[in-house]
Amino acid sequence: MQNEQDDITQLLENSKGNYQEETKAESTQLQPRIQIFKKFAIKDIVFLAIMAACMLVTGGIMPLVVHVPVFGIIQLALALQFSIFPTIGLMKVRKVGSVFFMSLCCGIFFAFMYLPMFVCIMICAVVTELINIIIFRGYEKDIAVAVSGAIYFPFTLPLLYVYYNFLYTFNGQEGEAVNAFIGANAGAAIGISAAVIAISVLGAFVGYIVSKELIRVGVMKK
Amino acid sequence: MRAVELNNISFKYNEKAIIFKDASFFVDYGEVVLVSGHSGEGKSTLMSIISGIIPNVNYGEISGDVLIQGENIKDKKLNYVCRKVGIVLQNADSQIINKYVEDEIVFACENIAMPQDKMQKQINIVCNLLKLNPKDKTRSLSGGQKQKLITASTLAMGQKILILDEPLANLDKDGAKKLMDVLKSLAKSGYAIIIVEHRLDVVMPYVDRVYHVGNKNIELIDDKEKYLLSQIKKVEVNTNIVDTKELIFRLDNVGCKIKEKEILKNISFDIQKGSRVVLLGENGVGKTTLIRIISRLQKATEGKVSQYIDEKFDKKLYSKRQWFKKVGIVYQNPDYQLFMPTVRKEIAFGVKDNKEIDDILEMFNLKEFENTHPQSLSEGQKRRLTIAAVAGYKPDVLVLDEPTVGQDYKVLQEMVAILNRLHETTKNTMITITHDARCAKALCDRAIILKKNGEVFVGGPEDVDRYFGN
Amino acid sequence: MAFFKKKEHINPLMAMFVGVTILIVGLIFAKTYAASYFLSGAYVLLIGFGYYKSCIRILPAFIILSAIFFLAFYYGKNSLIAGVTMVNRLGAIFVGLIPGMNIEPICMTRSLNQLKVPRAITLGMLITISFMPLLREEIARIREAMKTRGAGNILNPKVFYRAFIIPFVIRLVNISDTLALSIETRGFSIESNNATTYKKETINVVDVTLLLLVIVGVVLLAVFK
Repeated sequence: MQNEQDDITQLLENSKGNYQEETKAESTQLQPRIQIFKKFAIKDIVFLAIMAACMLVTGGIMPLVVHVPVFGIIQLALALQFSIFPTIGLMKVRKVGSVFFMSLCCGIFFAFMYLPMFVCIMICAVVTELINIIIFRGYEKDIAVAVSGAIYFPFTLPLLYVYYNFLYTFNGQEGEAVNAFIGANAGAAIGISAAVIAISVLGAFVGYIVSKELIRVGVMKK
Repeated sequence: MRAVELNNISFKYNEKAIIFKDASFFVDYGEVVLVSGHSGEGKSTLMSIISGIIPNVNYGEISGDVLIQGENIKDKKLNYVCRKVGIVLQNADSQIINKYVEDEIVFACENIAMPQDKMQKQINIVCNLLKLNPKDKTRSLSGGQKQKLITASTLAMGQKILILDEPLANLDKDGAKKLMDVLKSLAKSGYAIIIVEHRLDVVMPYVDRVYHVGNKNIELIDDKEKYLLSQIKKVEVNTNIVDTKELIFRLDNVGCKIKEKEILKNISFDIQKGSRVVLLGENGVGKTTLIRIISRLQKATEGKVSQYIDEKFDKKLYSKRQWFKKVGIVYQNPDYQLFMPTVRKEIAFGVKDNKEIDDILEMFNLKEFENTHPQSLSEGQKRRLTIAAVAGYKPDVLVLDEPTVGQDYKVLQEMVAILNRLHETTKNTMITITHDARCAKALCDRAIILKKNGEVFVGGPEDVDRYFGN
Repeated sequence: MAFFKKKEHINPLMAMFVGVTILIVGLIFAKTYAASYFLSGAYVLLIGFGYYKSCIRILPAFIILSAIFFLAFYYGKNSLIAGVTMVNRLGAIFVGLIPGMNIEPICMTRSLNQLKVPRAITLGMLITISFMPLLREEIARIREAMKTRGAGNILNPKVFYRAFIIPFVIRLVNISDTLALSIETRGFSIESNNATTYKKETINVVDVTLLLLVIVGVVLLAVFK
């Protein structure tokens, strides 16, 4: 009991300090600077980070498939979760930069698994955000969210194709990417690419429907 | 100067949800104040108003004065208010973001720009005070320790006004007593402590004043003892006690280890067919693990659980789907088990006949909500729906994990009546885990009490009273 | 002098740089036998620099996958170098992963904070990595709850999707709301830049030595490929 009292006395002593006064009281009203770009709140960051964690948890399969010589196999393994969770994230946090933030949060850990994928994801996030700004000027409309959720991941397909070419070109064996990853059967690569797009659209649709339902019943607040 | 003072506060989320109307409340330094009341009446809202969460994070219409240390916090940012008022929220598991205890504690200190040398001291002090090891991994902590960790993290920030929302939720009797001792000592040293807690019997000896939140008001209670008695009133026992010899489960020396940690050891007892069994014991003795083993959600690492429901379930390959139709399990958190778009569809998932669905809706008092989305229901209604959905299969065994946790007396009474009616109609075997002294006896033909040293005591309803210390 | 002071771990940013370098260089030179020597050397180097536990941990998965890919490519293309290339690629990924596996998220966060990376980003990264175990538990619990409701059959995707996705998203929203509130009431602010750091991440002689040795390895590989 005496020890406890000593600890409390020390706590009181150690808690004194000017650092507590550094933050001055300010108004609670935060206004967005420009209509398209809105400030992120802590709850936005937390939700997007948790969505990124979902993408990362379900994306753990990636290191095992990166060298399977079938073009689009990585995307096929990840397309569903990389469309559902970004869409759910966007349905709640309808702010420009959300896709980029989610990509950054999970991408940095993907960098350890497969660096090219990190680069691709980040580029795709930027492209998706740009397309959104140009066409929809933000994520306020449901259609903007659904479209962004659906197009985000399939963009990695052409980027990865470029990467394969670059890698093999660097090795002095130009054109081998086509042989190794698309192979003689280009139809398979096209088929897989089509499947990736279809799965991404389906994922975005599922994410949209689920979020819409939960927003309607008040579980998920925008 | 008062630590907290609310003068003529009115608050509403919208026109339909008016929480307070001209309510007043105060807390002085040096005292422990208990805020009590029924679920959904405004306890959390009150805490949110004092801590600045309202209007900074949760929105609503507020009027009146909220004074913290004599200063009106209207238009103040949460970042400013939180340096004066510390709040420890429920569900510690969802709040821990660091791998080690010391990093979690220091997270709050870093945020408020505490100098590095002071942070080290704060870690040592709060860890001493709350008996935590700063080098422990956060994920390896028990539920109670996690709650203490979040308390430590808040305490390290150095505010002298502390709000604790259900701080004893995951603590056993000893742990709860120790935490209350610390809080009382803090108050004696000049802190202002505000507690929201359902376990009134545990906290009452430590509190200086009690407020009851309800009817849009915050009422100061004059007679603590009388209030305590009114709040822990027990549900009446009016069911015939079943005493059969036919068994449905037999446990022989059941043990369970998870990652070298012994959860259960040498547990042996029988469960009679058609009986209502209440499983009692302090937090952490392995009650949930035990019912998971009985209901085959988890395997015992030692011993054997024999079932006498159907021989086909003794085969190596049996239908899990059929098993869970015979052994219905109701989780503590209904959110895990509800997924259909309406209450009716939720029940129809397991029951095809429309007449039967209607009967279940009637029995569980859910008829008026049949077209409502399950997530739009109140917590008590959601629990009833989960039981209804599981009961739709007409299981021989119904396993319930804390079916009444956090519910006020009226909801509790309704729940107990429904469960007992269901038991009488279906003659099911009902296994219930509960910490709720108000209803344990009313759900009990046989009490199984698990002790910390691994002993098991099997008794009758009278032992329930003895266990809860009456 | 701080530069020569002993510390518990390699600087997180340095470790990340080393890991990425091994990965990139390993992939680029995968088609050479020299890459095998480089990756073996890097592996030994990492053991020496205190990463021995992770080095042992990755070994079984690496051996199994390498064996599968080596045999498939060796016999499939009837070429030894084809098999070795696949082993090198896998090796680059696994060895490159080792330094990253050992970075404590909080150390990485503090390093980035020291570099004045916005705290919103570092907090997001910290939450992402910290919540993975919790999310795995949640997924397991929901799968279990699905079985108890007779909705665990993946052959019925309509029910499977509802029974999994709806409870999962509800849990995510609840967790997120609680966590955001907890963080905010514990003084975190996006706008404030005056947060302090409990343990500063420094670069010392061990970090620099590791980096130099990896660079030497890269140069040797480029010369003798």
